[in-house]
Amino acid sequence: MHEGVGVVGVGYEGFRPAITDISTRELMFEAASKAYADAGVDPRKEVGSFICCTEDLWEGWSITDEMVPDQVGGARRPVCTIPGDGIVGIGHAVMHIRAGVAEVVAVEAHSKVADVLDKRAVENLALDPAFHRVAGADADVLAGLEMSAFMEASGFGRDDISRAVAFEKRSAMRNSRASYGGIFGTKEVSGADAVADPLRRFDKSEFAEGGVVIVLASDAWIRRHHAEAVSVDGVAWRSSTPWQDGGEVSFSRYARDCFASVKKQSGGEGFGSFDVAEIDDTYSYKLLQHLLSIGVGNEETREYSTGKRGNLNPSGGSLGCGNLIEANGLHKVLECVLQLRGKAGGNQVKRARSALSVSWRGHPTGSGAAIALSEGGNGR
Amino acid sequence: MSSKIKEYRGTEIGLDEVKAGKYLFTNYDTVLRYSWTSGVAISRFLSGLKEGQLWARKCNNCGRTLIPPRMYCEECYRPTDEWVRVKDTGTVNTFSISYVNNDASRRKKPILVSVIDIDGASPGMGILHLLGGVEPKKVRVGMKVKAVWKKKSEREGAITDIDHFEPA
Repeated sequence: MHEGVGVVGVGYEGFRPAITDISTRELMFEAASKAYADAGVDPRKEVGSFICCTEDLWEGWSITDEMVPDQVGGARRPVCTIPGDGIVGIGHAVMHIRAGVAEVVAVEAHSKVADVLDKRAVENLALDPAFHRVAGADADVLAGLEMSAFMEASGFGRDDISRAVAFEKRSAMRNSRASYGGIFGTKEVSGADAVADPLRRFDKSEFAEGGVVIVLASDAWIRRHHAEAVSVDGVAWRSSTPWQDGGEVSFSRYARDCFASVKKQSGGEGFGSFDVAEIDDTYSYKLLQHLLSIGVGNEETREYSTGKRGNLNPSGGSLGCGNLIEANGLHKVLECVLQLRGKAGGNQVKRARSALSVSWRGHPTGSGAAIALSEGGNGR
Repeated sequence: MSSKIKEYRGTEIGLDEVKAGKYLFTNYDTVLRYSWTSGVAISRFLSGLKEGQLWARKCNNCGRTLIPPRMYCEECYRPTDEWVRVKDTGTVNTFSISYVNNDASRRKKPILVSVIDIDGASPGMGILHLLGGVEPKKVRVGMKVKAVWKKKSEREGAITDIDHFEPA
């Protein structure tokens, strides 16, 4: 029997298109300070491991992990950096706790992407130099190619996708962390400027800046401190072959496998058993693709993605809140934790007791992660 | 090459062969530009440099005065409390006589790179800068130095607003 792990603190700062008043380090300090206050822990004494999810090229610093300890409270303490999505960082935190490395672990991820003047150049460096860096084949073009193939394979049409976009944008209007909310009609979304047709302007989440810190603790620590916690019932991450290298277009293998793993870990049932879900929608069609990949039927996907069934992306998702690069996963976890605590504000879901987050690391990757959460549980 | 090994097996690739395209490489050129938000602490520090002043932050919990300044104390993990103007003098903490440029090319005349503990800041708090007005052989750890500022009209809010430090 694995020891249970719970989320005991969350903190965030920013969530704006550009944060011009504080530096990356100050952003991290603000988010981390709030998370430690929320958890009621002194990071200098009680946090046994610090995990930062960051990528050097997005930071503009080589060996960024050397630059992170001070602002998260990790000076001269066990700190590690993983170049990956924040939910993968939570996976590492769970391993640290279960292995006895630490009882309390802080996971940090942030986006300071407005500081990157050549975002397209950074994205293009992720493409295979021998095969993929041909003229014009950037991340958005890959999205256009995948979207086209997905629509053909799945039977989802332009208006299906536009209705999902309109729903996300509308949901974001009730979220104080969302910068890109709006009231749009299906026609307006479908008729927006083409980026890489069929990918259009509103199909792509715009970049945003923000920082998120999640504090996790073992069940034993939670019991000793009588702490309120959200239970981590399952966490998984997978990297599959990107579709342009031979992977499959019609569904996301990483999402399918991650969901299967967290379902098994949590003893849960299908997608419908979760009261609330925050599923990656970095691009509009990816939301639908991810739902289909984790076993949701076509008609149910149409209903979930337009608010006619369940509680999908009440935050407004990345389309509404923005693309926070490596912090996308932690943003989803943050929204789910707030939902389970009943503190999600204007988009609070009634009687939210279980939640699911699925993240994706963006083109050209076939990497994703998933986490299942529930209120209390594990004997608490 | 080891003294015991006179020759390695293999085929040497010469520059001329590479230039002639005998071997295939994948080449890619890119430009990555960043414009980092300075934030609260560094913005004040850089503004001070433009005025010929050095500003630090003090943590009233541990009593340390931090330069370059930061809005948090990494030891106490709390916000720092107040701005403190410190002197533009200090002590050579360490130095190196460098014969290489940033691009690793050789220099005929060395530059003197130093970490200077700033007077008024806590021990060990210093800034990396150049030494000037002194022969390399005469530089010593513990040597007292002072900032040589650029003309006010030439300052731009950068660490290079101090041209170098020279013996006090």
